[in-house]
Amino acid sequence: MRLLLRGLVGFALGFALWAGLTEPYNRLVAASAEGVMWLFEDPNRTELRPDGRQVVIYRSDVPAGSKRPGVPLYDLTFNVILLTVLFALDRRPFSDRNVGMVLLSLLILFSTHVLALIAWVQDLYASAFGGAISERYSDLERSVWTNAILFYRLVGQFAIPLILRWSLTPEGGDADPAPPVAPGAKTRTRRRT
Amino acid sequence: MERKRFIIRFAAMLPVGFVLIVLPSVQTHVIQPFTQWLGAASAVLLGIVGHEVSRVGTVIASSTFAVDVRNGCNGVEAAVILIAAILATPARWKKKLIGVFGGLVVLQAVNVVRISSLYLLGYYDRDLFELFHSAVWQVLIILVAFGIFVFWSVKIASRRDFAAAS
Repeated sequence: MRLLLRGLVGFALGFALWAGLTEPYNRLVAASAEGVMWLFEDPNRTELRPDGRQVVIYRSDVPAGSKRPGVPLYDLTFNVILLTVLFALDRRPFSDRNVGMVLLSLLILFSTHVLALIAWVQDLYASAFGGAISERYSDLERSVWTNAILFYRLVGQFAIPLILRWSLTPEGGDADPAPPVAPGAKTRTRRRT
Repeated sequence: MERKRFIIRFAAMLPVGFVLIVLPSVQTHVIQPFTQWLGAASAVLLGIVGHEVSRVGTVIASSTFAVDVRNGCNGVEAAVILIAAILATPARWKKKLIGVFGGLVVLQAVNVVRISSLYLLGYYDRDLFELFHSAVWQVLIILVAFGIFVFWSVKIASRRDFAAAS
């Protein structure tokens, strides 16, 4: 029962975080992704402008008035809710250690959001823009970007919070998803009071 | 150490699962028919709760609202994660198979509820539909997979199995 309650609180916190901070967070992710992309662009042509819940792609070599494709960034970032639920399941969710792990996980999750946005933009360049922009990509590059974003959206965005939870928390919690402990290893026992 | 091995095995199985589910032949012969079956099961459930709908392929429709069950809503991604976690656990194969098949049944039963509830949400409130479709249910279905895995690893894959398997 307590576990369920902790999960619900985690869900509510995660949802509030995600829904309440979507727009400023999108600005941060878009600016970071744009900065990374500029490292590999010469001249810098990509501009990522947040517009509500999505990020619209502007390119300096695309005529003004052309249709601007957008990336629904909220679709890449909602896994923050999953992350907060997983960490809320800890026996002491507000302990210094757990809060520290949540913050570290959020930082790692942020970097995956930036990478996912870059992959999605590159996929659009390679497959959807057409003309000279898409021609710059080989078939292999096109396939890599398409599968990278597909992998993230189908599997990666769900697996990353799980891997972070399993990697950053000690074994033995109520919702410990780890496999059975090694024979002979010490296990924590719960005492009912 | 054992946890680390588990995480590495789990992470390594994800690309394998991904490649399997995106193979065109698997999409055509397994996932599409399965998704249609999910649509049919959801239509039956909606009929039970008093909403008569028609189902054509993966589309569930009434005169005012329709949902198309696609990849991302068919629970296959949650299934990949559940299967990868179970297979990454050092336990006897018999228990792994029990976990995979039992887990998939429970997961897809919840997924039928998910699809039906999304249809009802869309029927009554499109904004709520968007919210639940894009975020709430996606998270919940992964949490269900996570819960099934935790239950399986604690209750079914015992430490003795671990010793035998390792």
